[in-house]
Amino acid sequence: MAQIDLNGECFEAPEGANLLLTAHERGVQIPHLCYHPGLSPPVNCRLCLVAVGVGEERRLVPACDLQVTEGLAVDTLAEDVIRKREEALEFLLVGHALDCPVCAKSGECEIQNYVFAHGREQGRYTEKHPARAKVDLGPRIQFHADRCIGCTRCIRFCDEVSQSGELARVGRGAEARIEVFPGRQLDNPLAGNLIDLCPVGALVEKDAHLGPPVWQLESVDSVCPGCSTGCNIRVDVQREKIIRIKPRFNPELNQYWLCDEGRYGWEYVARERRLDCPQIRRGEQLEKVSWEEALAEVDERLGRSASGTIAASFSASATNEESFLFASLARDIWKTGWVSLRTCRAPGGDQIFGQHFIVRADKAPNTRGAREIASELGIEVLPEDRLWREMAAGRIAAAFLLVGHPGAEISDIERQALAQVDFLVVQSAFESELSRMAAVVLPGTTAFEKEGSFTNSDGLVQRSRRVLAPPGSAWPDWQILARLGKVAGLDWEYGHPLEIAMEVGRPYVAAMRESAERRSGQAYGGGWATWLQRRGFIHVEDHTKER
Amino acid sequence: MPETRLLLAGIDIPDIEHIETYIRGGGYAAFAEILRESTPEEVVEKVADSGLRDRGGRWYLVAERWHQMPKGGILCVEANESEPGTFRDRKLIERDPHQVLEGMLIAAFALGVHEVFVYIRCEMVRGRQLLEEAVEQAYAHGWLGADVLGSGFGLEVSIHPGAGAYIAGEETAILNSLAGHRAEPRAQPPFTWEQGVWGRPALVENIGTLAYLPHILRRGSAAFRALGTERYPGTLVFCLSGHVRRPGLYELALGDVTLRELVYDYGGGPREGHELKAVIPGGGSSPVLRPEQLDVRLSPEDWVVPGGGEFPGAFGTGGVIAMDETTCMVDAALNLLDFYAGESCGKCPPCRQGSPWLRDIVRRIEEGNGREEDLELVYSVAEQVAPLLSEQRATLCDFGQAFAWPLQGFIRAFADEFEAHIREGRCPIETDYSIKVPETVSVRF
Repeated sequence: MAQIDLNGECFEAPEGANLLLTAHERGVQIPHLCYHPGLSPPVNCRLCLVAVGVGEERRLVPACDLQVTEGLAVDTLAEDVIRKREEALEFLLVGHALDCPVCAKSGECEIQNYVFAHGREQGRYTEKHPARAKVDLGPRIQFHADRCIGCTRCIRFCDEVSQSGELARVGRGAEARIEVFPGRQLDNPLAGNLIDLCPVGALVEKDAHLGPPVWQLESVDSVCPGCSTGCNIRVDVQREKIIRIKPRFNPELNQYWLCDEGRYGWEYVARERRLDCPQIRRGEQLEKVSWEEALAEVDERLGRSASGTIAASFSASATNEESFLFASLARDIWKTGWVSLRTCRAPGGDQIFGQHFIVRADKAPNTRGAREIASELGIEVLPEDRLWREMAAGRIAAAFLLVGHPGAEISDIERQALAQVDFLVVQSAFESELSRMAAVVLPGTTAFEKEGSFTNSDGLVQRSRRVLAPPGSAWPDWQILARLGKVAGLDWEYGHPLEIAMEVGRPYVAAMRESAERRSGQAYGGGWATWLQRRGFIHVEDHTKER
Repeated sequence: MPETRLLLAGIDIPDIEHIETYIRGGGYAAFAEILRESTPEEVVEKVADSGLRDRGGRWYLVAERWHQMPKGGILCVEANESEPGTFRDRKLIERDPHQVLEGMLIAAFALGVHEVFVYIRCEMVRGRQLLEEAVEQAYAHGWLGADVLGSGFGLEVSIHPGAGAYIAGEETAILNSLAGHRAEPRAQPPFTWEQGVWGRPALVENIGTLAYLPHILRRGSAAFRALGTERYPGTLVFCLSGHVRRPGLYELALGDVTLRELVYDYGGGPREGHELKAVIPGGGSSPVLRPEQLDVRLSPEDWVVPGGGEFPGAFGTGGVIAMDETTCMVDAALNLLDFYAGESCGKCPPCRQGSPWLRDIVRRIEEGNGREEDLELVYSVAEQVAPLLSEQRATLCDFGQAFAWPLQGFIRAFADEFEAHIREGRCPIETDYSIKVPETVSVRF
């Protein structure tokens, strides 16, 4: 630890720590554009100049390239520092097209925030801004060269984190611009992070300008259900529609990043055909019925099945609370040992990137949690093919399948096995071949429409939050299972997954007690920008308001 | 009036580019001697005693940096001479390649370096060819290789053509460029001898500086110190160009003559029937002087920069450009700014955006579209990049000063001419024959 003096306030900070980051953690803003705590400092935007030292030794240096050392004295509020900041912003704006009204980044633009807070009242640049065409760099990302301020965060990200190295700077002076190498595309699995990294609107999604402005978005913090890493995310919604997903900073897990699968993976919520009403098979047809009717039918038919002939398969995409209810039902009501877990694995292994950012091949968010809870309840989880073999052999009369993942296709083996089952219950959010085979269909929800906790592959329990209302009369899966238990005679009066978590154990309760609220004006960028905004350094600008 | 020739001593000898001729004239003797009789530390001491300073424009004490450099690093020889108005290194390489090569060998020996990279400006086609031939001859004669003349000292020299960038004269940019990256400077510290290139320590020295080494060792440090001034010993090759009768290279001991003597006595003064209007004293980056300011000694210590002297000017690199009354000062400033705007690497905004901004305003003034407030604006923007003759700058590297100082210099010295352009809405210099910069000039790679 070293004693340092920041604007007259003395405190201890870890020796060798980055000064810019230390100042921000202390609540002192140092405007910056090229610096990003997850990337190497290039020291090129010249915005973060601060005064260091006193008397003869006093000089202006970039804070992003400064390390905490014993006795370091820093002044971020001196007159010359403020003037230099204003001047740096003036130069930055010379090379920046001021097309804020049509820019997708408007409202959550770092340079916009800094210019409003620290820039000149009136610009002095009266020459022409050179017009430059926008270019598609990859399938999703578009580059607006005339907005680029040359911070090189994107290039450094592609070199240091995604390690795909497809971006480079080309040209000199004011002509310098970002380009992908010939014959390549900006399509690495983490490319979406560049949009969060870009402090201006130079790198944007192609259709971003069609979306709502950022100040109309509401945000909910959650956990990505896309794989077992469990990256921390913020879901931005408008009028019960997900608009986008952005990463939240978690130093242990995803740092400032999110993979494209997680970032764009939510699109299935609206795209897939959703089940919105309980259905019961009457002859060839599935008929829509009330929840009471459907649950009574399930209870009655499963109750009639001989002991040991019920198979229960639950999902690695179900929450811990749902897994607990499901396992309890299997053990106490259905009294079956034929329990298996439906997992979802991508071909190939985990994808490991720089800074130990991992995209897991295990595409379900709760494989570890589901297994742990089942074993805590003394249930042995059998391999899936074991169940299919039993069914194919005709030893299974009834099956209850809790299907969590979208687009789960079934194999021929599964199809033939399930055909042997007399009574098939499918609880799922999506209409699929499975749901069409079922005798009773119970419409569940996706991770975005329910509360619960997921245990990631490292054993970390995190809260996943409800972002949207379930479609139609679909219920959150925990609610379906709880009501099923009640119908079967258990004293389950759960009104919220927190109450279930209390039965499951302490870590789950702790996760579920994290505050959850839906807030507007909080949808600022992703990763580092979000961190800055949450600490009040920058904020969403509503440009429809009168200034 | 005689010159004091060290570097230029061999320049008129026929066939000096052949190693035999060079050796016959006493070449490589100094290197052979230290190889036989000296330790690297002794050589560094001799260089320290001589007081040799950088001749690439920065004027630091060479030996001071040599003391910092660990053994086994890389020596990068900068032969990327691009400063407007300088043509010294090019002539040294083209006319006397073995002299600069011997300088490199001595430096490599003193620094304990076994790999030398000569970063040569790609436009110096002839120079590169001759230097490559010189290196080949040196290998053939055993002056280079795994075991130089059986001494146990190994040295390899590679010639690396640059990719055509002014900024690759900056020491961190040159190392980036050498490693195959963009020639962009980085912040120091870490210094190049701590973090150089390919993860190894490196030292960048100007080729014209190293060319002094054979002379220092041959004549002794004291003899070198006897030339020039106390703080700035030795000679400097001045590159005199522009509107003088005898332009060319003049090697003079530092402090021996004044700028007026150089322009009038050596250069012969302006052409018949013309009068001197302005002199750029040390390459395009040094602020221009008026004819009445020429009575200043040509030694850096008399100048504010780098010597901290009285004379309000920057000594620069010895590239003296004389201009007579036919030259429009606004056009001259525009010409320089257009060069600098095209050469900015684009890394930091004050330079990347500042240089074209200033160029565009000055172009408007030259074309007759200047506005009353332009002069104040252009001066204040330039000051914002780097105030004249001050150590402060908004940019990462010296480039900020390189383009902001000369513009401020032009406005200070010739404000009346800028004002006349704005007032009359045209260029008032009817004999302005200098190159008009076309509107569309922009360098794209």
